[in-house]
Amino acid sequence: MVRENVDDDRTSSTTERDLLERCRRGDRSAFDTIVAVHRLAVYRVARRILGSHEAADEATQETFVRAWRSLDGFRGEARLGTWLIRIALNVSRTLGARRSREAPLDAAAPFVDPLSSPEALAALRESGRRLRRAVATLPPRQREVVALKVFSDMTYEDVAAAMGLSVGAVKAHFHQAVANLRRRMIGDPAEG
Amino acid sequence: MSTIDCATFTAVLTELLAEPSPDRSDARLATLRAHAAACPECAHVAGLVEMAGEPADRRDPVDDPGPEYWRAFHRRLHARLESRSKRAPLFAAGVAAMLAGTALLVAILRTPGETPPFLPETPPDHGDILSTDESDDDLSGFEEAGPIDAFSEDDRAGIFPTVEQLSPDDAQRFLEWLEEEEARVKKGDT
Repeated sequence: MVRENVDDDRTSSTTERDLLERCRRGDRSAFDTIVAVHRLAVYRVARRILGSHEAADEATQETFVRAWRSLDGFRGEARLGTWLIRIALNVSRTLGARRSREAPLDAAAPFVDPLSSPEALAALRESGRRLRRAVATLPPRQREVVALKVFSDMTYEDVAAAMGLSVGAVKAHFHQAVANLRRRMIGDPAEG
Repeated sequence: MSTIDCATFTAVLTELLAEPSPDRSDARLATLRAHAAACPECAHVAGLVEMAGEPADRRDPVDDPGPEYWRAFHRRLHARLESRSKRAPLFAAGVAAMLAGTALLVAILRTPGETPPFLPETPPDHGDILSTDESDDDLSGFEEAGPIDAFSEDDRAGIFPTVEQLSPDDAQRFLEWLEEEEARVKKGDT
């Protein structure tokens, strides 16, 4: 199973420190390893916020370019994955503002759950479709919290570090987001 | 009949959605399902309850774009980082040249005894602007400006463009604004 955890289990903190040290000496292959470990998590966050594959692709590229440029400034207060998500959020905000439109979240993202019954799968797919529509209408902060909290196994502390907010503020945004999602989904009944 | 109200439903749903690995047999899920079945409003989010019972990474996964995409991604990333590293020395050289130029200019301006050719020999003396000396109030050296209502058609505001200098769109907007202002003044609406 592919986990969406930004702090991928494959990279122990020792290996991570070693990779960072090599990156700071200009070792591009060490940076490639970091990119390979974290690229999917970064891509998924960007895609959930920006909606389309093209925008997520651009945001993911820019995230890693900025990360390479700023590696000297990374002191390890946060985990590397959290730091990268933070960059991805900033990049996605800038990109989203530049595109200046509410891009609908990609309705084509399929569900992969062979263990579920067809009925459960269909119900989940329908919920996912409506949820994406509702998430797309949330204010940016709430959309970001949902992207990080509902669809990845980041803790409140990780989300707070990634967003540069307090844990309390993240919880408040999240509760508000779910209340808003409920209201929006009431106004968007399932197609039948 | 449901044992919780809609506010509690939302709060519990929030808790469950925040949990990355919920237990499918969690009693809260059953409570939420029961409420969603009984409440016409919350029935709309029954699917969200089922989603909350799934692990976070299976709630609505965004597909991995695949190895071919990532290979191309790495190639593009390398190209960008490469062009950046090539541009960096040029940028540094540019900054260094600019700093050197600034330092040279400062050195010229601060050389004692010599006035650069583009500065006046002696700066004009404007006196002490905070002085209370009444002779400072003597305006006899100034030309008569004439009455304030003596503007003629030939007068130019100077810093403002004339209508002829405006673009057609701006001129149209300006004329529309002028008409509105005139109409407002005629109506006595100040």
